[in-house]
Amino acid sequence: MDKIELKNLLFLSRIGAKEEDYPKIIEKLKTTFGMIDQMNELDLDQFEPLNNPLELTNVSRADSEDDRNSKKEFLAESPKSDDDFFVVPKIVE
Amino acid sequence: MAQDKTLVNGWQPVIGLEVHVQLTTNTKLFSPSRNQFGEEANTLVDLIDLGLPGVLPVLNEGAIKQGIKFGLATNAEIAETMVFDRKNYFYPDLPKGYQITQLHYPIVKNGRVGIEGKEVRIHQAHLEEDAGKSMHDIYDDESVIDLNRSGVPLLEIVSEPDIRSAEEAVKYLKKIHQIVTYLDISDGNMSQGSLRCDANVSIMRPDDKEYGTRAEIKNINSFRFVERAINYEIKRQIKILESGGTVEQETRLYDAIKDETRSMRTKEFANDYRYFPCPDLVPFAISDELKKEVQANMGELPEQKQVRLVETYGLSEYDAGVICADKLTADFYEVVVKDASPKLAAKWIIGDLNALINKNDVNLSDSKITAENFSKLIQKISDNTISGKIAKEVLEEIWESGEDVAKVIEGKGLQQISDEGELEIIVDQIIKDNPSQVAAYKSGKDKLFGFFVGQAMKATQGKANPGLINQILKSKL
Repeated sequence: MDKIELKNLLFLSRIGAKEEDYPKIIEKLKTTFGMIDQMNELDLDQFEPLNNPLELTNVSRADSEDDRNSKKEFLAESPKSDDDFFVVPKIVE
Repeated sequence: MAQDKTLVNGWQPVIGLEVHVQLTTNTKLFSPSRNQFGEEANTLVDLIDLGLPGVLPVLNEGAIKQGIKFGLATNAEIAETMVFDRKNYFYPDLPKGYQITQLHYPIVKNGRVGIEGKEVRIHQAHLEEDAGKSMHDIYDDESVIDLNRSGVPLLEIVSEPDIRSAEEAVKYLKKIHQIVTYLDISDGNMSQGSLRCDANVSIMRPDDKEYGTRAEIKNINSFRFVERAINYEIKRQIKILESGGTVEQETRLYDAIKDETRSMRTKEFANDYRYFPCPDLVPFAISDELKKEVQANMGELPEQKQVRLVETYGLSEYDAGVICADKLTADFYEVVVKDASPKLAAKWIIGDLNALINKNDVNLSDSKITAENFSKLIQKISDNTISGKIAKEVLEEIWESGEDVAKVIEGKGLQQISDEGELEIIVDQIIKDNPSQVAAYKSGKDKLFGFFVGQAMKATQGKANPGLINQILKSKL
């Protein structure tokens, strides 16, 4: 983990951090990665990957509608909206 | 590997398609909001679609069944257990900051479809949720978001890189379109975005061992654009490689207006999606019982329908194939032939109706022609009310106006003249007016017969019953 990788990670996670704090954050992350490296040393070939810690499968629902829409309230939750839409900074590809 | 006829300037294009199909479930993949196109903005949005804190997604059984259906129709493996993952990225039309999709344990794996003697392998098909829709032209310096589409179930069908030309890509896409519409798991409406396609394109020399670097072209929404976007991209890559450059692995956007692909620079950092199993959803095991239940409700596939049309209506295999190429047309045909001649109906659908559809570049379902009205047209030809020539006119009229066939014929006085007495008077007049042609015909110029038929048609504005007019002319000349 170096400064460039950290910068990219912060960008992907949309987390802001001051450049002077980078060394501290990198140190902490290194500890975390160290733990992951340690776990990676375990031979787990004989185990199926665990996708969820709950011993539960097949939670599903019938394909029937339940209208819980409240457009006005929903729009009001966002930083900016008009009568119909959520309004965001211009995004054009 | 080498397939000479698909080579371009000695380069072998290698293409894989990712097709996103919006499913026809009543509700969204993880929320009970209605799944429908074209409603008032942000009215089909649930707390789950907004990704508000504390809500939990619950998987829609309808979407599972539709995914299994596709797997069964493409001879694929259906997952014993499927798992949902989070694909993380930030974009304003994705309120949660991640899309729920399937990476390692998709619902469908290792399928295949045939396109004219060639097989294209399907790597996998997975269930995922659609994002919302951004619009950029309402305000000058801001964009707006409609989340009605957010959470709509998609089946993403990923092919192996088995496609070798833009033309093959179109055939493959049409095949997928045909399958999902026959299965009734999608309406296949490309202009509304129900079926969208990304294309992975690279080029290599025929004896190269490894594929070239590929570019991914995003969001192509018509058959024609698939062909044009891929052909443009092949030429672009050839130009780069032949001038000593290297193709970059990147995402490109096809611009239909300029007919070019261009780099999507804003996503250059976003390739790291940091997938992980979605902790909000537990794995789903697909039982044999569920597969059997879906199998029992598969409906008729195109090949089966084709065989049935041949057997039931005596159509040629070719005609039945053309009619079954698209489910809308096949369904239309079956309504038409409830009351009309099957062979004549097939001839008119394949000929004149298809010509109008192609000329106007619309779907049959978006046209004003209904199966009931078209059936009346065929019946009017069968019972000699109108001639084939007039029928073309009527067809064009009902294409434009959607008006009832009987009314158009009556209103315009287009009924065929099959009154022998009336036609005899007309023929007598023609013979009287053209003595020199009559003399020439009688002296052996047989070809002049057509001249007299033409005169009779002219005198009746094309309404004379052609069989009858031939008969009268022969007896009088």
